[in-house]
Amino acid sequence: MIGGLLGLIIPILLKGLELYLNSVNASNAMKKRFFEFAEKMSGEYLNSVKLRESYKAQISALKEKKDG
Amino acid sequence: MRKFCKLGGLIVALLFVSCGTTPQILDTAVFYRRDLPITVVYETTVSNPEAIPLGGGTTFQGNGVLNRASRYTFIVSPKGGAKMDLLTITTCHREFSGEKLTPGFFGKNQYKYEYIPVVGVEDVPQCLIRMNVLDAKSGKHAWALFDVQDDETTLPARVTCNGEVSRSEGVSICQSRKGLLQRLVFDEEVDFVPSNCFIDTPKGRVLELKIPLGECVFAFRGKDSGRLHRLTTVGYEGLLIRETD
Repeated sequence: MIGGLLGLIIPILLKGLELYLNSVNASNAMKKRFFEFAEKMSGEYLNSVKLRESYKAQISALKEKKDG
Repeated sequence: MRKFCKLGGLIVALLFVSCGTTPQILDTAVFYRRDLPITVVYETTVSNPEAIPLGGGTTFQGNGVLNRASRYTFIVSPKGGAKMDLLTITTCHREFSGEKLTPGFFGKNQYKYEYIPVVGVEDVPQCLIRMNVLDAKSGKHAWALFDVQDDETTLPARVTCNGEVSRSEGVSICQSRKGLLQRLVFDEEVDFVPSNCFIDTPKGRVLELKIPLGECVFAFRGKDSGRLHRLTTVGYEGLLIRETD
């Protein structure tokens, strides 16, 4: 009887512990990735600057092409 | 009895396993589709007063061209129950950032941001608006990119982009998976100069382009009218999956 109960409880406890550790690891990995994305995002304005400069250069070149 | 207990343990353990979730883990090196839903309410439009959307506003799925207006309300509402642990809104002039913007249990999962463009700085051609949402726990991040119609860019075109056909009044944005074929038909023949992203040169009035990876901008000038058209392309390589867990 006791053996049967232990057979029921121990696998549950072990599974619960495994799931808990997995979730902690996943959560830490997610948080690490979150900060990586936040850092990447903070540099995204440079894309906007690059696009803006590219657009201005194209407009100037089109104007020169027309005038030339 | 012993067999029954072991079987019960197995069932309960399986139940635990089945409750586990496997969210999509995003990679910072991958360019993902811009699909953050944003509802835009224009208070007053400058360029086209008749186009003021009344009531709920217009909802965009991660990208679009906004009417020129003196004031906007952006309603950010992430998909898949994603939390707004970090929201950033960046223009060519300013950056707003907010943390932990997700409301309480009964609140709507959305955030309203009032945007009044600074005259002469933000209401100029090609002042892109970026909105990004990061969810620290689930990793359900989302992005959006908008261009704004302006008075200097007025060469119309019929834009066929990712299965949808629309009429652009001079400013267009097209998002699709990189390499897919898209098409613009201008109202007249256009001049074009190469940019730092490669696309084929337009043939007469027609531009057929394979969307380059990432964000690119292209300018076109009408040969007769001298009017300009601006096309921003967004070529993604990764899809975002949020509804499966």
